[in-house]
Amino acid sequence: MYADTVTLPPHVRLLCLALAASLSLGTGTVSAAQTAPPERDLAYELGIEAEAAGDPGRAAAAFERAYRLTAPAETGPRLLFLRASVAARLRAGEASPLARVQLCQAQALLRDYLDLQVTPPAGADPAAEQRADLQQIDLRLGVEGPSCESLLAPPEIPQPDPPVTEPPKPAPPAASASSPSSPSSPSSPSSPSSASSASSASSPSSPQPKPAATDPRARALRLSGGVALGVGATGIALLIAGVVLGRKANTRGQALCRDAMIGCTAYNAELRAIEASGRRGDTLLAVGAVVGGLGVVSGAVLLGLGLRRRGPGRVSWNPQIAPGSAGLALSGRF
Amino acid sequence: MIGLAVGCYNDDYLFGALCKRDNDCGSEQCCSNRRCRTNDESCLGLGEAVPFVPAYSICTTDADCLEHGIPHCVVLPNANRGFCADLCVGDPNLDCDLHVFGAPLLTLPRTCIEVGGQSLCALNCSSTNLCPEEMQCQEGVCTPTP
Repeated sequence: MYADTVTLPPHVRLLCLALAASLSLGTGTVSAAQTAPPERDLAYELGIEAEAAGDPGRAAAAFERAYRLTAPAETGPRLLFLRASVAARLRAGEASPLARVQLCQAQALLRDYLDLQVTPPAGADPAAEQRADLQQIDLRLGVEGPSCESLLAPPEIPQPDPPVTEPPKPAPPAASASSPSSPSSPSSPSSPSSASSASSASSPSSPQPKPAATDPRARALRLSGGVALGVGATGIALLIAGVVLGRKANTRGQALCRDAMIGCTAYNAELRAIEASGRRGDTLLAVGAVVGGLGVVSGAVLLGLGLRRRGPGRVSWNPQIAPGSAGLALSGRF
Repeated sequence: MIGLAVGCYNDDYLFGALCKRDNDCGSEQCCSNRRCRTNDESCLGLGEAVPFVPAYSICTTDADCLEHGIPHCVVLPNANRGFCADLCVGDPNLDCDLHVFGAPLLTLPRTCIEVGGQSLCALNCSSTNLCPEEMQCQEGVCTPTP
């Protein structure tokens, strides 16, 4: 059983793959088995990793992809991937609030598989286990709730490409011969189950939105606005330092001259130092006022222009209401 | 200056300080005779032994004297008016300003008096009993008439 397979160490998993390949050889489809598509192996490995990571939904999607990448003639690997996917779907259905979607996907996969199976007139049915699984799923789905057709309908908005997409390289001839999109394949990619499997291969329950495109000019405006505000803040710091220095010089000068017991001499070293310190404070204040004023004003203008170019939604006011309090919250994004 | 406009560094504390040249005093000040004063037409040349007109003039607050570059209005106890004067430093007859008194030039001797813990220049009338107009000799010092 697949459930046993996923708990085995990696070298046993490889052995399992080899066993699947040998089963294919046994059915006489030599060309397909000898050159298994690397995409299929990759999808299977991803499924194993997802299982190990405790994400049965992603594992089911990856196993289903491996299943669909396997030619119908490769009965062994195909059955292995089918079992793995169905088992993962059932487990995901137990844990996920989207249980019905998982069951529907398993149902579609099993139906897809069983459509190809020829029921023997008598004797043992090789697909008996899958028929039992399907029956069990049909029972669990029942008659209430949304239909599987509506749940598995392809979304109207195109979803982002799945991350399991393999790097672009020419597919080997055997793989292209057994591609699920080939006309000979019973499962057309346009069918609901295929569409859902393609979308669920990336993330079955949470499609990730594409990051919003940023206007480079708006970004440049925001950046330069930020830099200008930084310069302005430095100017204001200089201004404050100048004020402090000047006031300190005043106090010391008053104490030495006007408030002293006897008169002071303007040319003594201490008074000269106080005077120099005061003039330095004046210079800092003047420079800080000019730099700070220009920086703050230009920074605010640039930042405002940059945020306006970014469009609505970046800065917003939200009412905050709670028992005993009410207010407005300003939120913004950079 | 922005500093002066927002009340930051202000070198008014140098008014009345002893100086040797203009550079010893603050901005918009001059070294008038031997003291830092407001740089206006009343500024005297260096070492000129001539009276400084606003010195010992009648005042009620320090502000009345500061406009001429003299830091203090000396108001004696139990008086409502005082006179403009510098802090004493060195020899009062040398370092305290002369005062216009009569013509041709007649000057009065100067002395130092203690008021409010500070030593201040004053006109000495102890030996001559002479004081400018609107002043009287009181305990050897010229003070405003009540």
